[in-house]
Amino acid sequence: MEKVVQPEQLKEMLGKEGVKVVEVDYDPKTAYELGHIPGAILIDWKKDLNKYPERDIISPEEFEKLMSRLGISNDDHVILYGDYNNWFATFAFWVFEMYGHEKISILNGGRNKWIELGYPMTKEKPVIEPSTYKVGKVDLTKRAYFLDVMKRLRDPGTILVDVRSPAEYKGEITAPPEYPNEQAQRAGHIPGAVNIPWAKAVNDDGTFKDVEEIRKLYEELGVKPDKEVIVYCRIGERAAFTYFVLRHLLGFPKVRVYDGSWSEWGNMVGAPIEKEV
Amino acid sequence: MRTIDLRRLAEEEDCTSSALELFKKRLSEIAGGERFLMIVSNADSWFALRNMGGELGYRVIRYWKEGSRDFRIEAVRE
Repeated sequence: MEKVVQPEQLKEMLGKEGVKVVEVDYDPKTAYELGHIPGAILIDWKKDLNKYPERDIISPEEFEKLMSRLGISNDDHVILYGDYNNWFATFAFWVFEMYGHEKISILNGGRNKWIELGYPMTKEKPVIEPSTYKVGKVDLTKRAYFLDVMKRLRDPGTILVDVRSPAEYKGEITAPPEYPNEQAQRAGHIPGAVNIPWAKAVNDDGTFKDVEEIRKLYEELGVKPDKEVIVYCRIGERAAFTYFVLRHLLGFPKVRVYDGSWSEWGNMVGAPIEKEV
Repeated sequence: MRTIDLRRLAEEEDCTSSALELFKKRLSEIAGGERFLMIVSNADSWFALRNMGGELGYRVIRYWKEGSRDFRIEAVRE
């Protein structure tokens, strides 16, 4: 199963049995609701993949309910794409993987590339026939919690990758002002982390860069497959994007998303921080 | 013709929400009946702005692509 599907491939796959196209949006009002790939089902990242009121991803049972409501079966090939350059689609990919869905891919370039190519978009919502979905094996080794990161600080076998902007990494800002829910008490980065913003892995049109170019970029900064890699950002979605790049484009065996990310670390009493300003 | 150029913001990492808020602010400065130009750096934002005119108070006259990071829309404020 190819983990990356090209837009031209997807165009030919639309409507085929066993293929489910899913748009994962942070903001469906400015994306899915205005137009989506014909037949695409919506996952609203905030409402569908996150638990409330606590901060966490949905449980396996909730994932089963979500898949069943969306008419997705265990054997379906799910192709994910979305707004914000596929950040939330790759987050969903990470959740699907942890909950054992094997046939899953990302649409290269997401909404952006599909639209740029002038491929069809519709406002028509698909008619969904609910399914009965069952989560099989749950694999949480792809997720890092606060204590996992703390234990690995300065561990030579682990490398932390901070995929936020350089301004956030250096400690100039905690988060842009437009994101009041993502601010932290402290600015900076986790000690020892290297800064490789997520966007370094993509072209102007949002598609992935050449694999060898990406490999060189990471390896020059010490991010190599013999290490355990933990990626983080501010709330976990850009980290999930880089997780996808490292795990599925470069084939690194041990990559984990620290989805607590800076909005947890930067607020945690006693958490060590490095800062460059 | 007045121009709302959102490309610089989009070069920063958290572009979309920031750009939309800035866009709304700039749009509020344009008078009813005035023509204006919008420039964004990606096709997704281009698509959104083409389809949000009714909600945000403008009518799209034409749209086109100038370059790989230059997507334009000409509109009139309602």
